[in-house]
Amino acid sequence: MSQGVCALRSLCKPNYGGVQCVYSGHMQQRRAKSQKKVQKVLYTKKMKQRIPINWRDVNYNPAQIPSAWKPDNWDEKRKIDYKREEEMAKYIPGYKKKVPLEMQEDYQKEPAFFVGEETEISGSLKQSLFLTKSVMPVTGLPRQVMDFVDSHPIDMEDCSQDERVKQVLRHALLFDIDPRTLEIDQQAQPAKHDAYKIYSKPDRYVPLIMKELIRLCNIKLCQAGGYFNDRMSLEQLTSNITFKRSCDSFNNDLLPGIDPNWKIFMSSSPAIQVLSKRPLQPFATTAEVESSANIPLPNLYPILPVINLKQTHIYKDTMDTGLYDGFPRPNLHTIVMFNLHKLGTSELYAKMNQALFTSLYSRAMSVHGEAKVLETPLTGQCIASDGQNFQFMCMQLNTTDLSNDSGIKNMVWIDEEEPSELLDAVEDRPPSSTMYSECSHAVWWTPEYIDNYNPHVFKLFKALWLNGVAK
Amino acid sequence: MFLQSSKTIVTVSLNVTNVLRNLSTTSTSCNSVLQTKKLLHKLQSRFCPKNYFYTSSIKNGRYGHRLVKLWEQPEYTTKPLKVYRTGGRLPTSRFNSDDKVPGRKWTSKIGGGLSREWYWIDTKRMTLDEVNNGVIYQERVLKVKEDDNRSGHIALVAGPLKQRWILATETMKPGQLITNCATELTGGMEFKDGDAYPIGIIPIGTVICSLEFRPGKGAQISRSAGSYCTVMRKQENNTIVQMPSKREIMVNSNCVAVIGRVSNVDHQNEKWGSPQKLREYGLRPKSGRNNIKRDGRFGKKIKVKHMVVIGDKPLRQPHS
Repeated sequence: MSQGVCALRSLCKPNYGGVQCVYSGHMQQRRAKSQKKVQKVLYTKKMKQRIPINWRDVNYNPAQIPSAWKPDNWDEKRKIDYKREEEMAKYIPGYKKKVPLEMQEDYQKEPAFFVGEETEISGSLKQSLFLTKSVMPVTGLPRQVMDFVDSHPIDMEDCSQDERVKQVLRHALLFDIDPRTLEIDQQAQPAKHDAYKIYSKPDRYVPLIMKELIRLCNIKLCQAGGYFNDRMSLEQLTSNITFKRSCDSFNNDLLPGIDPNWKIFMSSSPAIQVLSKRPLQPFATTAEVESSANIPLPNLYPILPVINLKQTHIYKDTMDTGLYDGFPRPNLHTIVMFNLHKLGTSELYAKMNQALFTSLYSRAMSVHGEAKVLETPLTGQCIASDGQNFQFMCMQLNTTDLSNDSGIKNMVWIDEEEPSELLDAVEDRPPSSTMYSECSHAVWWTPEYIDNYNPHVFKLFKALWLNGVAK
Repeated sequence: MFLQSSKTIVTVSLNVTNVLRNLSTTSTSCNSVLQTKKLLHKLQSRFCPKNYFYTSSIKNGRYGHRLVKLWEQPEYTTKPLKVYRTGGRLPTSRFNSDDKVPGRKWTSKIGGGLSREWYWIDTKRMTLDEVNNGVIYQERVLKVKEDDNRSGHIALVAGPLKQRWILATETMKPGQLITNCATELTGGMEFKDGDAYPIGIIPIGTVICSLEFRPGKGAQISRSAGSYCTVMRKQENNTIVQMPSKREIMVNSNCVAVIGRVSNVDHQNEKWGSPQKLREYGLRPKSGRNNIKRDGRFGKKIKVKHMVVIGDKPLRQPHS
């Protein structure tokens, strides 16, 4: 304000030609006095004290600070009063009291990376192969399985093998009504556009298809001899392992704070686990096992295999196969998994690898007790499906020594023509074996209501199931 | 001031009444009332809460469009979070309840809009500790994606131990490797598009984006689509950078910058063809004079630019 006044004064000042120097000196003194006053008005001492030093770093805008919307009692509600919880547990039956972390049952001092049933393995198959120190030597499934593709055909008098399978699909997808929806429909008459509601959801039709296909295979198993009695199928059998994995290939001195030695806890509880008296024969010969030392592990650079895995202090530090000692059918034959939550192909392969590794590794450690190269390798198979797409995997456990990235490695076979492309692919791609493209009432041009049926898929399914049976 | 007026008024009124009672007992009524009226301003200034200041950024500009409840998720996630519409209203607390509800209208002409998802973007390509330690590490781009809450694209990136979202540069593609380097290597360095360095290392004349204003605070400058800065010159511990507004700033040389332009360069050529597009973005219809053709931007007049001064000698003015 005063600056403006000064400017006005300078405009109003008269021009005294010769006496200018004298007058200007007079004005300079007056101007200096006014400027001192201005500084006092703008920033007083009180004002300077009130302005914080870090005013530029702090955001005072209440609309931009989301914590302005935060309820006042948010932090108080989150605090746990453990004494009160103990009192509540006394008087309320069935009350689950909260216990501090260090007082819990499975508390361990050393933290471990947790790979459970619900964890999302973001690196998918590549990451799980690196964690389990396994390698894919050959494309496609092993030769031992592929010999069973054309054997044991189901040819009845009435209908052939493919028609039996189509019957199963039609039963599950077209003519099966979910009883959970019937209670809702009784209350009110549904509209025409809500007709899709009565058809079954994947959590009903996927197990139904798989169990029916297993039943078809078991018919042949009974006919072959005493093989049906050797087996036993168990649902939701949990198996837990803890192991130490260390990575040699990661060397970056300029990145401190990374320890390449990890302790990993892995658990799995697949839907169906088939056990047998006799073990499966190994898929690879001893020469092929020794040659696996030359094959490098998949290149994960720059990602480490424990990316996005959470560290926990609460885990079981023991090996569990899920079976008691002296169980009559201890050997693993196949694992069946249902893809109900629309996992991607490589993610589902990772889950299959996880389930196979936990069950095989726990069996190997229960026998030997130490980490070493196995003389008689253990084998297992896995089938997973969406009801439409089928994925097959075979695994052979050669070593339990995971402290190196070199030496003899475990081996994995998957039903893909180009597995190396699937590992390096940025986007997810569908699996190679799809049983049909569509099965619904909308496919009116085919009398079977099934479009693009692929008979080769059930042959693979049957070959895995009848592996180890005499021809 | 208006927000906290209720508290101040209460205190003031109480004090005034006390003063009046005291005065009524001692002295005459006529003079006392006059004195209290004069005192009111002083009382208000005295009982105004301390440490309460507006900066210019609060009073000007539009804020409070949408809300993300980050206190419910303290840890970093790559999953999208929910976004709530506020309708341009600031939060208030109700009587006898701890919850916050939308209160007074703060910004007008906001409301509605399509639902959005908010991705937590890590603006710190390198933290201050990593810059001080001289770290080098690489990351792989997994996905490049449009974002609802900003003009540029975003990229999902996987480092050695962490996955995170960052701002995508112009030539970023999935499967690519990008480096974060805080040391000056002896051999020839390649400053590729999408790499992050402290600005002291970056040579003069390179195009950069998503620059930090203070070391370790996170990127603040040139984050919108297609924007870029240029490194002009260097002093001892500082470097001078030309912002997208052609204004020059001096920042500490430990501030991290990304090389290249921000993605979605054609964003400025997009046209919002209809008023429905405005509603989709959460802006309500406007009204008023449409006579805004004065050639300067946003209805401004054209002003004569002052000529450049070279060596204290003014050039010839256009009018005279």
